[in-house]
Amino acid sequence: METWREARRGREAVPLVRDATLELRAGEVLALVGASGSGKSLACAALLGVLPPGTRRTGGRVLLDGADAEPASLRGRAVACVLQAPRTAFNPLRTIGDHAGETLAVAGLRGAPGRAARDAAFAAAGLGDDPRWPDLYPFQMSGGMLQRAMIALALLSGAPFLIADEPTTDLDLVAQGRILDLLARLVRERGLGLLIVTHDLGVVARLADRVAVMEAGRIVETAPAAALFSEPAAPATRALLAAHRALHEIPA
Amino acid sequence: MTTAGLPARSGSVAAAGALAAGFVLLALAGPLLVPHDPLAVDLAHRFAAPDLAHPLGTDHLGRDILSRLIAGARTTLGAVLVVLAVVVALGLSVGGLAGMVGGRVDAVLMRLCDVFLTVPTFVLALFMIGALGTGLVNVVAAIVLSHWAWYARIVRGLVLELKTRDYVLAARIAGAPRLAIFAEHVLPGVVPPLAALATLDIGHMALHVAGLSFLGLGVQPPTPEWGVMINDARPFFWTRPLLVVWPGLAIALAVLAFNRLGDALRDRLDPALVAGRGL
Repeated sequence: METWREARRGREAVPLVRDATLELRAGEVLALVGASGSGKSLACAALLGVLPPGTRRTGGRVLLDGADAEPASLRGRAVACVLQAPRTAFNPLRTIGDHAGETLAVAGLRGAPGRAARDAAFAAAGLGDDPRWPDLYPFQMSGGMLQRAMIALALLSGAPFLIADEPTTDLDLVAQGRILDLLARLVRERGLGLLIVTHDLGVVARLADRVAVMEAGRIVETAPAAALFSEPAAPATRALLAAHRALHEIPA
Repeated sequence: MTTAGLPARSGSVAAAGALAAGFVLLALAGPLLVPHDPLAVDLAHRFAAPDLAHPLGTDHLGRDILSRLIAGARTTLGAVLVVLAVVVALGLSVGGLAGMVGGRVDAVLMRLCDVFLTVPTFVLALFMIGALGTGLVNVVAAIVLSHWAWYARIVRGLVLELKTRDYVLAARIAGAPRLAIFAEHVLPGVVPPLAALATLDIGHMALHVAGLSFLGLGVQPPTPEWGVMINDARPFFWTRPLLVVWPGLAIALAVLAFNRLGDALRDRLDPALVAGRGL
């Protein structure tokens, strides 16, 4: 069983994330929920060693299969990432094929086997029908297609874990549903460990096995998804649920 | 409206482009085009008036002025080309390194740039020549040393801005090495503004080469060079003003043409600037 943990990340003077421990298993979907600014994305950035300027990691550990791992060593090998805004996550001057080439270079795949792996990954992400996609530039693709391309790149890296930071926030409702279905299918078929960061409890209900709730930089509750919806323990969780029900006019 | 002015401006751009292309052609094919050997002295025909054999006449040593102007294009523009190539390479490596690595490396490299930026370029170039001695190679070295820091600073600024893009973050998370990220995602954003800047600087650098040569610090006679030609003609300014006018005209036209071209290039490659002008 592969796991990783993290704890106590912070910034000079103002700690932003601390006492946050997450455990992600292969073949499981863990949702990290919380209000905007609660530190969800920052915790993921710290895990991968890509903290934004002005923040730094002051402590904490990452364990991969029980052994200490350097954040930089996880990138593209143990952990792949799907970012929130597919439009800006691709270099506008490079084709989708160029981006795939970059991932293949990290994976050390070249030539015909590389192309075969690339086509297989894009087919698995639902982009296999169109033979022209490697020559497409990001502006020629829809947001949903780009998000599929990003998932394909994640698959191509062969990483056993996937972090999806609000993967559906920038998409329309139809594309949202399809992307969530795709992620669920990949977890089931390939045994990926998926950490999905979201503030949408609808996404959680649809996808997650377990849920971690974050508030003000701390994990305040971790529970199986069903239990969290039926008996929320932490006040932050109850507030999120109440807000969700009020928004969607579901009686408590 | 900015668009209203565009047609008239593009006409001047076409003229500037044609002129600049003409100078580049002269620099490239000069030896094939010169009607006479630019170094051939013919004291019997000193100060010859323009005629069919010597369309612009001859100078105080009977050398053909047109041939010397054409040969001078290669000296001046060749020196400028070398300067720009070295300055751009230095700027890209120092600015790229500082911007990509950041932290202490950035601080040290930028303080080094500051040392070069505190002294006005022409004064610094004069100082370098004082230390290195005169000659074409030393002039090139002096102009490089007095200008590279500008390029390094600009490249660093562009790199810092491009580094914050989401696709750079995505590439980092995908595990791409830093050099690959620089080459694939940062460099393509740095090159266009840098190309515009370098084109704008051709005229500026040409003035430096000609100016230093005019002062006797750069290219040495009898090598044909526009600044050298003006200096050669200085004693005869009151009697034969055309000897000063021809090389002066060449310098002025070259600077104007490349400046206009660089301006147009910047307008095309720097949309933010154009948008700002429209407000």
